[in-house]
Amino acid sequence: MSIEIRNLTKRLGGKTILDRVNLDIPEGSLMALLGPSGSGKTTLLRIIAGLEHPDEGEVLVRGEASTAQRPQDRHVGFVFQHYALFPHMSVRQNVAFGLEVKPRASRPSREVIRARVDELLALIQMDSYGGRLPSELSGGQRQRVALARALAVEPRVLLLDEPFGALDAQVRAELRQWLRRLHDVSKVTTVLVTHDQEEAMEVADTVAVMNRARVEQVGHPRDIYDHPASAFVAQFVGQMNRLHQVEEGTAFARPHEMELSLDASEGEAAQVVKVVSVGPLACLRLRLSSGLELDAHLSRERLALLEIKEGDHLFVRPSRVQVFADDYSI
Amino acid sequence: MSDLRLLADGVGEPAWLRRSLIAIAVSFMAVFLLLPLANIFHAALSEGWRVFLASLHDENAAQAIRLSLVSTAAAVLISGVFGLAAAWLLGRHKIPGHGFWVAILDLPFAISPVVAGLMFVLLFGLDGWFGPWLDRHNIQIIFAKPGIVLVTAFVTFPFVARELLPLVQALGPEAEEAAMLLGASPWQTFWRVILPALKWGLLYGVILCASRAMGEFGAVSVVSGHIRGETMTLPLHIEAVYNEYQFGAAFACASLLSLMALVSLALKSFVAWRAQRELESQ
Repeated sequence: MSIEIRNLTKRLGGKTILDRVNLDIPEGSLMALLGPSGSGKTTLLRIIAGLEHPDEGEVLVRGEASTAQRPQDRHVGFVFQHYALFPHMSVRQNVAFGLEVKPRASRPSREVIRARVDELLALIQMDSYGGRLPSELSGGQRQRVALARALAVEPRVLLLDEPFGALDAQVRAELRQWLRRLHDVSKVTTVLVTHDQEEAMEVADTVAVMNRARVEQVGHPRDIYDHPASAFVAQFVGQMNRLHQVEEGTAFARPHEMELSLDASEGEAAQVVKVVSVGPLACLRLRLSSGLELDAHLSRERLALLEIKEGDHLFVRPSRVQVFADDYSI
Repeated sequence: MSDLRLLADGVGEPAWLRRSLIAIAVSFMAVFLLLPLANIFHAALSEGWRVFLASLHDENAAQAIRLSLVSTAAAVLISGVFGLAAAWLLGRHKIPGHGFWVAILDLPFAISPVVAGLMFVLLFGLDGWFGPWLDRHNIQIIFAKPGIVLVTAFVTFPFVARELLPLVQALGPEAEEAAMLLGASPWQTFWRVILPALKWGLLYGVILCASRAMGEFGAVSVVSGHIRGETMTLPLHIEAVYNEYQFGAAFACASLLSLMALVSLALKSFVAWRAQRELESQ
C-alpha cells in the first residue's frame, strides 16, 4: 500500500510535534524515519497507525483518506520498542491473537490458525518455542515474536517503532539483516522509525531524515550521505568536520575526504593529537594552528606510508567541501 | 569514622537486648491477637457441640448468615466493577482534578462507618432527598436489604480501586494498543488482555473487600433497622443475642465469623504469594 502524508500538523500542549509534514511512501518500499529523539518521527508513525490524531492534514493510504478509520480497521502491523507482548499468553497464543479475535465470519478455522502460526514460528526460527511465555525469552526472541504477531494478520503496512532499540549491538545487527531479508520476500510496505543512522542506512530503500517536527530530506541512503540537503542532515548522517565560516554559511567536509600530506604546499599545518587505528580505518584527530580540531579517516596502509605518529606535524586539505546556510542548531 | 562506628554498633545490638525485644513482641502478639482469637472458639464450644450447632441452626441466625453472604457478594460485585472502572479512569486518563479524585477514593476509609450509614439515611430515608420519590414508587432502601448492600459497598469501595490503580498505571497503554492494532474490539481487549493482566490484583482486592464486608457493623447497623429474621446480618445478630445474655449463641456465631476471616486471610496470603511468583517470573 502506498502511503501519502499530506501537510500533517500535530500540536501538544503548545508544542509543535509535527509541522506541515509531507511524505510519500511508495508501495512495497522500506522507508526509515531517521531523526534524533523529539524530532516527531514516532508521532508520525503513531498517526499512520491511527493511535494518534493529527490536528491538520491527512494520511492517504492508496489514495484514500484513512484519518477517520479506527486503528482496528487499518490493517496495520505495529511493532513496539518494548515488544508489548501479552505477558500471560504463550508465544503461540501471542502470534495467533490477531486471527483469534477476528469476527466469526472472517475468522479462519482452528486448523488454519494453527498452520499459520507454525509457518510464522518457522519464519522467525522459533518453532520449538511455541509453548513458552514471553518472560522466558530473550529480548531478540521477544521482538521476533512481536514481528510474527504483527505479520499474522497479513497487514497492508508494517510499522516498526525503534524495534531494535532495546537490544544488544550484536542482536541488533542480526535482526536488522533478518528484517531486510523478510521485507525482500514479503514486499509489505514498511516504515521503520530509528535514531540510529547506521540502521537506517543498512536496512532502508529510502530514508527520511526528520528534525524539529519537519522532514529535512528524503532520499536513497547513499544520496543522503553524499549530498546532504542541510547542515543538520550532514552532521546527523555520518561524521562531519565543521571547517570555517564562508559568505554563504559554514563549510563542512567528511573525515574521509581530508587529504593528508607531509608537503607544506598541500594545505594547512596541523598537529596529530590522537591516532586510533582499529579495524580497516585509522582515525586521526588533528589540531590546526587556529585551535580548531578536525577528524581525518584514512586507510591503515596510507597511515603506515606517511609514518604518522601522535604529536607529528603535517598538512591537511579537504578534497571536497560542502557549504550549508546557518539556519539551524543542533 | 566515628559515625560509622556508631552505626555499626547500632546494627549489632547486644544479645540480651535483642532477646528481650523479641520476647516482648511475641508475648504481645500472643496476648493481644492469638489468645482472644483462641478464646472465641473456646467460649463457643464451652457449652458443647450440640449448643454450638443449634445456635447456628437457629432460624434467626441462619437468616443473618444468609443475609451476610448475600450482601457481601453484592457489595463485592458492586465495588469490584466500579473499583475497576475507577482505577481504569484514574490510572489511564488524565482527567481534570486527578489528584482530588484519587484522594476521594479513600473517603470511605476516612469516614466513620456510622457516619457513612447516616449519609445514606439522609439520602434514601423517608425524610431524605430521594425518600418521597422512593416511597411513591414503593421502593424501600433504608431499613431494608438494599440499604445494607449499598452501605457495605460504600464502605468497601476503596479496596479494589486502590489495589488496581497502581497496576493499571504500570500496565501502560502499549498492550492495549497492540491488541487494538491486531483488530481486537475494546470488549475483546478488555477480556483477553487487560483483565488477565490485572487478575491477581483484582482477586486480592476482592478478598479484602469480602472480609471487610462480612464484618461490617457500624454502617449496616444504622440502615438495617434491626428487624429480626429480616434485616439482621451476622455481626448484628451476634450483638443482639449477646445483649440478651445468650452467650453460647453469641460466641458460636462469633466463631463462625472469625473462621470466615481466617479463611479470607489464608486466601489473601495465597493470592499475594502467587502474584509475587508470577511477577518474579517476568
